[in-house]
Formats: sequence, structure tokens, C-alpha cells
Amino acid sequence: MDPREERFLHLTRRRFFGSAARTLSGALGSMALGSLLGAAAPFGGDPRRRAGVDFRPRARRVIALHMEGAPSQLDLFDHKPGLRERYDEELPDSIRQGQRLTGMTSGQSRFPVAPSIFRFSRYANAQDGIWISELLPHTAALAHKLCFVHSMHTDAINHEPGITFFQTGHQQPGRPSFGSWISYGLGSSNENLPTFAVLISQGLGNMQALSSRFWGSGFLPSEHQGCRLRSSGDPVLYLADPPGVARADRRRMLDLVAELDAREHARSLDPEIDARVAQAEMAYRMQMSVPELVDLSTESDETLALYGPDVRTPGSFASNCLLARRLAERGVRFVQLYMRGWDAHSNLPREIRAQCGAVDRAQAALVIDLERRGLLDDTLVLWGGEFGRTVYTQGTLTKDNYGRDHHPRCFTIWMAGGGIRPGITVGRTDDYGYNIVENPIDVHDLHATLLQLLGLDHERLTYRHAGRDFRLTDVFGRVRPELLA
Amino acid sequence: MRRARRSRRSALLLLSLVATSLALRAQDAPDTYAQQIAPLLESRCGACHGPAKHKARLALHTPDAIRAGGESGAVLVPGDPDASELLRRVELPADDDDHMPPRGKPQPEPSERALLRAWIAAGASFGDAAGTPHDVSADTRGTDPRAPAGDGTRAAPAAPIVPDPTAVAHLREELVHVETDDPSTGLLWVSCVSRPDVDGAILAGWLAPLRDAVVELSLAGTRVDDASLASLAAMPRLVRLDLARTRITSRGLPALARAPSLRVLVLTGTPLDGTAVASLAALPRLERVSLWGTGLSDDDLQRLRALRPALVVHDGRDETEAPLHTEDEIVLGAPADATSLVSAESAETARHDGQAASAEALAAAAEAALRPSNTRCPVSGDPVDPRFVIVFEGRALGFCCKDCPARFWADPSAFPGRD
Repeated sequence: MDPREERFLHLTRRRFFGSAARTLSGALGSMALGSLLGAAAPFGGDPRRRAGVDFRPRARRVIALHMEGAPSQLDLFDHKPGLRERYDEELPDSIRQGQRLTGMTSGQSRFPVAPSIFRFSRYANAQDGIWISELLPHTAALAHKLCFVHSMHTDAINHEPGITFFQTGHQQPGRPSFGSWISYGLGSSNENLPTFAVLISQGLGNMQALSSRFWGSGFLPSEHQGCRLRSSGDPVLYLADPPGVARADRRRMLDLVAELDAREHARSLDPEIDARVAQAEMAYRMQMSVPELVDLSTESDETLALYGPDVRTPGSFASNCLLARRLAERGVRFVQLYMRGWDAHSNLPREIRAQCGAVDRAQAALVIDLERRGLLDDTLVLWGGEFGRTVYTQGTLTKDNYGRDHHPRCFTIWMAGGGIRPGITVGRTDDYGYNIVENPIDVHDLHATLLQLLGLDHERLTYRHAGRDFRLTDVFGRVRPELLA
Repeated sequence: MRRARRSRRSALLLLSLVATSLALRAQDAPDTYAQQIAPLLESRCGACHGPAKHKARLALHTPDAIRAGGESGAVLVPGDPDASELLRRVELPADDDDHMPPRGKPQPEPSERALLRAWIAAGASFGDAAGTPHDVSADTRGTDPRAPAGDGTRAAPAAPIVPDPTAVAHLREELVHVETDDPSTGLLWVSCVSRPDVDGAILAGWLAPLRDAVVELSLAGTRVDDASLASLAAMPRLVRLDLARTRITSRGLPALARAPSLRVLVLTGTPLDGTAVASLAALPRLERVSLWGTGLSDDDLQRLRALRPALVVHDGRDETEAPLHTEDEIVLGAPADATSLVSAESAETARHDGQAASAEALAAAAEAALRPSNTRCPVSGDPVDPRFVIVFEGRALGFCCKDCPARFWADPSAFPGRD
């Protein structure tokens, strides 16, 4: 919406409130209409109306498990047994087709094929089964509930632009993160917790920087940015009252500040003041709700065991998966979990073993736990990295060791729940696992499809900034019906 | 700012909201024109057809002005939306020259157009008669009970529901989440996830004005109990009800049998017992139920499945599946799968050729000696795969897969039928 229009609306709504005492029924009717059918609804209401929702949502919330650093699709999901007899052969130019190289491998004189050394098993699904690596036995055992996409591709070839693109739909920083768009488009369904929560697990393999702008709100009002929950000390920094300040004192302080803020807002109509007041009020409620949220002592031993022994280590992937379930259970719209450490340029077999050991059981537990609690119906789980990895080795190739560089042309993601079609594989790559030969799906298509499942039309979820209407999908994106249940 | 002032001031506003809602109800049902249509016409048409401007000599800001029509005559035919010029203009394609509001102006949402149509169809009343209660039984007719749950099947009303805005506002003031589930129907998703303290009696009061509009209701972790179930069952369009982690017991469940549209029921973590089986089996439209963490035993769950074979029961058991097939040991630089499969024929050829016995040929010869004496797997009855052979009682016994030998060794006497 045009910011000037939005300000005008703010003003109009203030007048409704002001006159409410005099003409109660009329003003209330209009107010409530604003809530039910209105647009920006700055005074509460149904923020889905902002986006002009056209669809009944299939998913009410998302848990996005981002594997930062980009896991190797060739060692986990994209089974290419034919490569074993091509061990150490040069990758044909007809396959590489001039694909640009990163700075890490541009100096290599050879690009020898490194077949995966991991054994795959075939698991039953709704089609004719799917081959999954021995590294992910727990995840594989749920293949009949998961939707695998072997044909994801991206524009970026390095981590920063890659994650930025996957999260915001644009390689350059500054656009709102997916979770921020959801927060903006759908609003909160639990006023006691942030709408967009971020959890970070440190990896066991090679890690890359993780910038907080990956969960930034860009040009959207700042109340839509992701709220990081920390694993040690206070989960949310500066949330607890300092010693000597009672909760009643805090309440009085907030009331006074809000009154001052209201005066300033009446003068300037600056939406950032709204954001500030909203954040302060949410923080006040979070003082009560967050300690309860992160207290895992109420979980049964059986549930803790399901997630594996790491679950008792705060910040571990297992612990964060359990926390993600608790957040979903409490109505948080978007939980973004980052698992670092997948950037295996060298020693890939050792690193990926460790990484998979950390995630496999816990991510399977998350899906099972959501389903048995009746939450998988309307919670969408998304798993994937920012790109794939090359079929040729980076560094020395031996029969038990190799590395893989970044590969944007294809990678595998999986999804579950929330209106996603279970038990299918979408897309196919060539015999080298290098190019997509069937059903390419790009990041914009994925975003468009996920938005549709959340009840939002990706072409209508817009925000006016710098003189034009921005979308998560920019001018791209196609909803992919083959992914929908 | 939204819910910014939760202190005394909002309490005052809340009181006045409650007072108003009572007052409105005292005058009978909500006034559609005043509450919905007039603000809609004002926001979408008012700039050109309002108190200030009367383009084409048409004004839409008062009932009299609307009845008077414009230079081309009446714009409304009460009861006949298709004959009403107002709606015709609004529903024309956006690029039609006659389309209203004109290109570039804020356009009504699909739900607003639907609302306008429904209002005209209902007689385009401007006041007292607008609140005729909706015929719910007519709406729920014609939905397909065989359609799978969660696919969007809804007891779609013939015309969009217009939920009581006062009741909606009240719920939101109480931090209960209310969201339009589907703009084309106006049905609501209501979630009490931020209000675990709420109990059944309070909730019944809040939800009563919205009973026709709620399609999904999440009460997980709240203090509702068996006494609340009768009022929940009276919600004619309620499709999904989440009662996880509540104090609902088997004694309360029979009340849900009267819920006409209930398809999905979440009872995870409730203290049920075996008597729940009969009550659940009696829910006429139930398609899916979550029963993990309840007091139901394996036997109870089996009985439920026997009574209702088509019912999807989530109980947290048997979620995982074993692999169908695992590849052989990987050998790099050699053709896949064939590596461990030096065939018996090639081993024999090697011997006939009298070649020096390489390690490979020896292995192959050993394998030839292990040629299975049977054609069908003694465990599964499937054809034997020559890769999976054991020596048992002096003869080579073949199996269909790598898993069957282990089962055979566990108790050879259990598989006497080997040929």
C-alpha cells in the first residue's frame, strides 16, 4: 500500500476511535469492518486482508530447516550409481557446458568425477520408491510422508548471495526475509510470542558466516523481523527485567512511554512508532511466555528420546527441532532453523557423516512429533540448503575421500505436511547429477508455491517501497501444482 | 497501536464493546447495511458517489440516494443481483470501460463483491429486516462427505457468512486469534493458543455469536472440559476441532456426535479411556483423529480401526518404514551392482578355458559351488536371488533378499516348506 494512503488510514482509524464514544454502533461497525475486510488494519484485525487473500490456507505455519553451507545432494538424495564406474574420469564438457566455477576450484587443472561412497537404499513412497543414502536412515524411513524435489536450482554460486536469494528472493541484501513476508501477510496467531522466530545450531563441518540480515525485515516495518532465540543465557537478550524492577513497575513504565509515543505518533504518524510500541508490549508478554517456551522439562522422556540424546544439549539441532515443535504448537507462524556446517569443500565423507549424525534423527523426530500431535496437517516443514554441490571433486580424489564445490544448477530439498503432496519425488537430473533434465523448480517457484499454501497470492502480497510494489517473488515465480496434495 | 494499551483504558473500551454488543443483540441480529455495506460503498465508491461528488448524478452514501439511482436509472433491484446495475458494473472485467470503480482506483476485494451480491440477493435491506438468520441446514447440504479431510472440503455456505464484527473484535481484544479462513465463505479460524487460561464457560460466551461462522477451532492446552463439548457440537460448520492437552474425557465425547460437520478431531494428550472408541466411531463425518498420548491401548485403537476402516488414526505408532532394498557394497571404478555378482556362468567359462586361477575366478568358482538348490525363498516364497545363499544341513539354500537369511537362522524349524 502507498505509505501516504497508509498514513491516511492510520489517521482515519484514529478518528473512528476518537468518536467511538459518541456514535458507538456506527463507528464500531466501520471499525470491525476494517478488521474483517479492511486493508492495513494497524489497530489489529486480520492482516491476511493486506495481501488480498484468495485461497483457503493449507498451511498455517512453516518450519524451515535451512542447511547452511549447502549439503551434497549426491551423497544424500540424488542417487547416481552409474558414476561409480566413472570414478576419476574427467567431467565431460558436454555436461559442464561452460558453467562458471567458484574461486575455490577455478585453479584446478582437472575436474574428476567423485562418485558418492555411501550406499543407498530404496524406500517405499507413493510412487515407485526413492533411493536415499545410508547417512539418513531415520529421515529415509519417513520417505512415504515427504516430498523430495531433485530439481531445485538457484542463481547464486556463493553462500552469502545464495542464502540471501533463498531467504529473500533476491541475491543482494535489503529485501525482507520469507519469514518477514509471512509475518506481514498473515500476522501473529499468538500475541505472546514473536511471529517469526530464528534458531541457530552450530555445525560440525566447515561453517560459513551467518548474517542476522538473513532474517531481517528489509523495508517492511521492523516488527516483522525474525527474533533470534539464543541457546545459552537469556533466550532473548535483555528480555528479563533488571534486578529491583518489579513487573508492576515495568507495566507503569510501558504505559507512560506508550502515552508519550502516542503523542508523537499523532504528530508524525510514523509507523516505526507503532512498531516500537508493539515490540515493547510483546516483550512484556514474552517475559512470561518465553521461559515457559524454552523449558523442556515438561517434555516426556519418550519425546526426548525420540529426538535423540543431543536434545538435552541447548542449541543442538535436536534441541532446536524440539523447540521448533513447541513454537509451532504455540502458533508461531514461521520458525527458521539454521544448521551450520555443510560446506564440505574437502573431507566431505567425514564432515557429512558428522552433520547427518546431528540432524537425521532429530529432523525425523520433528516430523513424527508434529504428525502425532495433529500439527503436521497445517504445519509445513521445509528442508534444504542454498545450493547443491559439484559432482567433481574439489582437491584430491581418493577412494575414500573427496571434496565438493558449490553447484547452483541442481540440488535436492524435501518438504512435509501443510498441503504438500506426500511420498513423491519431483524432478530429475542427468546421469552426472549436474544438470536438470526434468521439471526444474527455481527458488521463486518454491516461494510462490509456499505462499499459496499459506493462503497468499504471491503476485498480490506486495509492499510499496522506493516508488514501486515489491514482492517476495519479484516479477517471477509460478505456483507448482505438482507439489500440492 | 494494536493491543498496545492493555491497561485501564482498553478495559474501558472493552466494557463499551461488550455493552454495544449487548445493545446490538437486543435489537435483534446485526445490521448488514450499516455495518458492512455502507462502509464498503463509502470506501470504494464514496470519492465520486458520496456527499461531495455525484458523478453521473449518482450518490451512494445514504439509503435514499441509493434508492434514487443515477442518470441511467435505478442501480439496485432488491433480490436480483444480476439485474442490479451497481453489481453489474462492479463485476465487469477490470478493463471494461463500464467497470466500476474505474481503473486505477482501489478495487473491492472478491469477498467484498461477494458480500455486495449476497446483500442484494437477500433483498438489499437498509435496516431492521437485515438480520434474518441464515439457513444453516441449507448450506451444509451438498457437501461431499467422501472427500478427504484437509483438502479444503468445507460446508460452504450458499452466501458468504458475515461474522458478527463485535464478537470478532471482542475475541481479538482478549488476544484470541480470529482469522478469515477463506475469503469466499467468510468462515473463521479461531485459536486460543495465547489464552491457555480460558475455560469452557468463558469461551462459550465469547463464541456464541460466532457459532455459525467458525470452521476451525483450536483449543489445545486450554481449560475446556467435557461440559463445553455440547456447545462446541452445536457449531454447524465446525470442521476441525483441536482439543489436544485438555481435560476432555471419554465421558464427554458422546456430545460431539451432534456436531454436523466435524471431520478432523485432535485429542492428543487427553485422558481418554477405552470407552472413547464407541463414541469416536459414532461421529458421523469424522475422517481423521489424533489419539497419540491418550489412555487408549493398542487393542482400543485396533477396535476403532475395525469399526471405522476409512478413518485415519494418528497414534504415533508405526510411523517409519524399513527400506525395500539396499545396494551392495560399493566398488569404485567398476560397473555398479555387477561388482559383487560374478555370475556362475562366467566362473565356469573361466574354468573351461583353463586360465590361471585369479583371485576373482576363485571367488567366482566358490560362488558357483554355492548355487542354490532351491528356486523359492523359504521365508518369503519369492524367487531366489542367487546373491543370497547360505549353507544349511550340507546344502546351499537361496533367499530372495539379504534380510531373509537372518530370519531363517533365528529359527530354521519355522520354515520347513523349503524346496
